[in-house]
Amino acid sequence: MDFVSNIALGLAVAVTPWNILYCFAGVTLGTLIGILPGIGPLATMAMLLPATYALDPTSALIMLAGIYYGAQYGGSTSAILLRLPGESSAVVATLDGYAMAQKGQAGVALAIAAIGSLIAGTFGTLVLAAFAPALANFAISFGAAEYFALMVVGLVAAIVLSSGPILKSFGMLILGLLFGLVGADINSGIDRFTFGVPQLSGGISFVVVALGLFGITEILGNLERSETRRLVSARIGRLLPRLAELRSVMPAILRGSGLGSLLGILPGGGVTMAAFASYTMEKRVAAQPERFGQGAPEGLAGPESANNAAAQTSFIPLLTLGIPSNGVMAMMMSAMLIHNIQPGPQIISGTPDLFWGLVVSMWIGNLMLVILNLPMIGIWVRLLLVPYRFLFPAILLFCCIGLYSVQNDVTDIYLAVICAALGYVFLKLRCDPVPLLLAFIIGPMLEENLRRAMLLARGDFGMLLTRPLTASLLALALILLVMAVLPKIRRTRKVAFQEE
Amino acid sequence: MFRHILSGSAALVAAVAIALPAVAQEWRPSRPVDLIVPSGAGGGHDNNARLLGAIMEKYAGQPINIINQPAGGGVVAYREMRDAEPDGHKIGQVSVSIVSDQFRIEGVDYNKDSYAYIGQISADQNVLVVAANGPYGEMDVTQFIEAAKAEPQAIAFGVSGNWTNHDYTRYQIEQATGAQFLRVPIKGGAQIVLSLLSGDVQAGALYPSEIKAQVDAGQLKPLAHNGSEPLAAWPDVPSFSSLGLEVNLAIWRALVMPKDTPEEIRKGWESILEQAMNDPALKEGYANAGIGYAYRNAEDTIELVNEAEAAYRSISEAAGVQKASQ
Repeated sequence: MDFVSNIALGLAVAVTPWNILYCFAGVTLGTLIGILPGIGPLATMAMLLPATYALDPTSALIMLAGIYYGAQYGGSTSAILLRLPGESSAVVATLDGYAMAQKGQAGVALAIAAIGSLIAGTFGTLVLAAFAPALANFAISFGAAEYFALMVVGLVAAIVLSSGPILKSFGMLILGLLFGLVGADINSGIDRFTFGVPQLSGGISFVVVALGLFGITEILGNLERSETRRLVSARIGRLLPRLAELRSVMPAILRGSGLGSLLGILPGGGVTMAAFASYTMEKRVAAQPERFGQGAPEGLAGPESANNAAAQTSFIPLLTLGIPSNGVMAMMMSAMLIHNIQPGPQIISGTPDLFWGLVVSMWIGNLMLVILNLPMIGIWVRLLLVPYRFLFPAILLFCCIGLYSVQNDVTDIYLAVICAALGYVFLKLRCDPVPLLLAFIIGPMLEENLRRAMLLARGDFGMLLTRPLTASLLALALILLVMAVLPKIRRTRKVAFQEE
Repeated sequence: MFRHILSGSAALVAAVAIALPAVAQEWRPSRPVDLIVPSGAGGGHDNNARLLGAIMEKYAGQPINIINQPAGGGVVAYREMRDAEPDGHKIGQVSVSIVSDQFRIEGVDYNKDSYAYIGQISADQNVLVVAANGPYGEMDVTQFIEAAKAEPQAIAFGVSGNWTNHDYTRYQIEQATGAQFLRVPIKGGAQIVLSLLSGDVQAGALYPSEIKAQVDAGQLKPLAHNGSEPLAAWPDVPSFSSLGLEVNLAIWRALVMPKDTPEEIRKGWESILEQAMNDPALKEGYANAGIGYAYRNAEDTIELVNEAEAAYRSISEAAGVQKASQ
């Protein structure tokens, strides 16, 4: 069977000493930054991106992916023990996970989170392996018009699913599109918004925007807060959950895996959304919903599984369509482009070793994470004692090295400082910059595809409505947008994000 | 960075072994050399530089660092090569765009006379391809051109941006045959291949490395190429010249240094390059990476550069190429 030989190919690539090492480095680093609040996977990946020049592309992607899902594990650890979510997706874990820890069940909570994550990660990886090739085969026939419509759906979803008011998200999206306009126009070669700076004619580099808006801004935000960190003195307690406990959370883990896998595939979706959705779902199906928030194991197991499953399946749109569904995937795309790999439907057939190697490495990485996280939990917790005053200058230095090495040009550092100033303003105004980042990377592709579709249709706008797939996708985008502004849904959305 | 250190130390060991018996009188670099590449890491330009750089280290006796400067579409890198200290420790890899940029980009202040030449290092043909299962998949090049002439603007032709090499080839085909295509700018060769497969565009003129996988899989069909030698990968594909059509702007790459570099230093590099280009390891590396092997010494390279500038000048003037601001 094809599936078996594909997995075998993936094993052959992923289980080489070097790739195991890079996978291990990725998940370890991911756990580390997941535990430490103040630095997210996006900024870490942006910093490491230039360092991957020297690596084989498969190893580079394996490591970067490891940072992403490793951060999901680490994020829950500090959420459970300290009520300090290291990652936005771990916010939900502060509810019931921390409550369990206070009841002296910290060890069980950590174990349930890790086991749930492993099961969900396995499930998500299987979904990826099963559906991606089929979707890619289908996507080969997509023309410019279909891609345009897909990207519209992606951008609308980015608004609808982002936290905060719709209007703010929309504003950020427009800003992102404007940022994406900078540089030479592909059709005419005429430069736009470059102000005569030759370094800008290739466009603003993605690393600049990501590091400026996320990396440096996060540091600024953290420096403002006074440094108060408590370390749980409470015992972690027994680590292994009883069989009965496991059996009672298993349905929640499976539900979370399914829901997370689904939400991960959707454009604009991602880990945070999956965790919140799963929590809401568990509360709804529970026999005694009042237990939630008081240390209900299902309230921890469901969301922890969902966010990990979503972390795996959010690779699907990138690897099959070449469209990143969230900021981290935009970073992965940029990593692929650095290595001259064009993300899109040809990835799976063109470079099967890369695709299957990455898929299998994700499963191996998940396994490593359970081993890394459970027996060594004490060491990780101790890391929280490292004072920020040592951490931040080091991070800032690595940011600058990373920025410079993208083009061997200092202009990028200046641009990132401007972005960081902008990001700080957004932080103060409570504007979520994720829609900006997504629009920045999708915008130029959207424009190129629309203009190409128009050129091929000899200037006839009607083609957007006469091609069935294009028309359905655009209709879907419209429905999503209408739903988002309808008062009832708006309220639900607010509720879903209020814990954040 | 780590790679540089690693390859550097490896080269140092090699240097001790090889440099000693080499011709003692010839100039050789005395410290690590920067080789500036006007593109980002990955891609044809960069692959070429990394392959060649690794081989040249053996004969130069010093590590060669590849410096990627993609900013400004290469304009920044070309200026840096021109303005470098002329001491032979900073050299540049250029493509045909050092002569074509002045006709298509506003404010370009370099041309063929801004540099001293070390030699040509490679050449790549553009191959006219169509989708094998598309409406023109059964045709040979003559039939395809007849079809294009019968219905002007009916065939969508993917080109990678405004007056890039792909675009000049499209223009030359139109001029030589009287056919007229619908010109569709698409960012990059890989995307053009996707558009060919989805049926959005029907034709394109791409480098062999960009289409090799799809041609081998039977998805794309090569019709003709614009080189003077047969294609290494598909020797049966005719050249346009063999059909009596003037479609001949194949691209080349060369090594250059600042104009006022002392002749002794330039000669030193010319001999390093000659030894590297004759190294079997280089030829094997080129073949694996799909880079077209072509070598000329400095004198012959200048001839190539002069011819290319004249050709681009006349075509750009005839086509009325609008300079893009820079």
